[in-house]
This record gives sequence, C-alpha cells and structure tokens, in this order.
Amino acid sequence: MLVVRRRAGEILLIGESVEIEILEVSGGQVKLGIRAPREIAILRKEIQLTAEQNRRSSQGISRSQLENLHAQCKIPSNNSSLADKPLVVIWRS
Amino acid sequence: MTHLESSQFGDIVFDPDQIIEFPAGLPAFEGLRSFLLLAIKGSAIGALQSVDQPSVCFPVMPIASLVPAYQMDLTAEDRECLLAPSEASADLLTLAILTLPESGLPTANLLAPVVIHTRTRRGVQSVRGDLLYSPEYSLAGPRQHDVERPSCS
Repeated sequence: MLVVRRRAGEILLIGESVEIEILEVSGGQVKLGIRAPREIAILRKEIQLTAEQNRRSSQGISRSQLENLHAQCKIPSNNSSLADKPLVVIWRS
Repeated sequence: MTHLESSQFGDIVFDPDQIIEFPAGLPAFEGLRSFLLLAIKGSAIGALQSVDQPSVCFPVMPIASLVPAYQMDLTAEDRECLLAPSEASADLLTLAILTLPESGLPTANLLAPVVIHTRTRRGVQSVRGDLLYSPEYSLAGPRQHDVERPSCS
C-alpha cells in the first residue's frame, strides 16, 4: 500500500481523471472532496461489503435449513425468540 | 388478511399492518422497500421476506443472541429512516442477516445490522463505518475483532 502524508487543502491525483482533495482534518475524521468522471463509482467500502453479503444471503433459507440451523444453535429461550416480537408473521408450514 | 406466495416459504398469510417499510431499501436491493419479518415459534432464527419480490428473503437472527454486548451505532440518517429520535428505544429490534454457504457454517453480518422500529414499522440496514464488527461473523465462534462468544457452537 502506498502511504502519503497530506495536509488540509492539499490534493492527490489518481490516474488522469481522479482528484482527491483533503478538505478538513479534525477530531479523528478526515473530510475528502473527490472529483471523478461520472462513470467511476465511488462507494464507501462497508456499503460494498454489505451489498455483496446481501446478494449472497438473499436466496434465503429453506425450511430444512432453518430447522438444521435451529438444532445446531442453542437459542436462549428468554428474550430472543423472534416469534414473540411485535409485527412478526408467524410462519406455519 | 393478505396472501404472499414466497419462493421459499410458500403461502404466507399476513395483515398489511405487519409490513415493514425500508425507505432506503437494503444495499444491492435498493428498490425493495416492503418486507415481512417471519418467525417460527420458539426459534431465534427468522426471515426478512420481500413483499415486492417474493424470491428475495434474508435469514435473520437477533444480534443480542449472537453478541450480547453488541453496541449499536445508528447515524442521524438511520434514525430519520426509522422515525426514531433516540437510539435507546425499547421499540427497536436489531437483527443480523445470516448467510448460509453451500457447505460450512453460516455467518452473520455484524457490520450492517437490520434495525426495525416496531411502532413506526420502519426499517433500515445500518451500515457501520467503523469496521469494528465482521460482515462474516462465523456462527461457530468469534473471529478477529469480535469480542464475545456467540451462543451457537
């Protein structure tokens, strides 16, 4: 990884079309300004990780998988049962 | 009562008042706004079922049953989505989306919990910026960065 030290007001160039300006550094946070062509997607990394994870999860779970998982995991019965929560649709097979 | 023919769960009967609105959708599924939370009696595992697209369904589990000390970090935007002024509201239900691989153990996304306000019937997937918790927390045991042991083994 290339490490560069920059101050507020300074600018970095990536390739010929992307410019990153350090706008402000304060309280453990850095405010960045990014200039890039419209076709370059700029995404917070955690959103990308979550999008990937969501795509993998979205195929859901079959009844047998659900039952296996339930048997595999010891579910504390006190306050964790989803079925007791408001709004929940109780699923009957 | 209304019916929904879900690809995984078959016929689901529900009251329209049970629909949870996600004003921002979920990352990768921004267009899907209406969901149902399905559960089986006695089980902590449930499913977040899309009403708009019946083939989309996420297995979920309350985060407290995985990591009791989990600390929420709702942003102002998240609270706006939920119409919830404060974070400590007893009306908030915090769930982790599970991924079930073809083989091996399931994982839970602790980086981006799904938060549902049970009174406003709004939901949001709150994506943390701090990368403090793993998006692939193994239900078998803790990974790096994860402090607590889950209740599953």
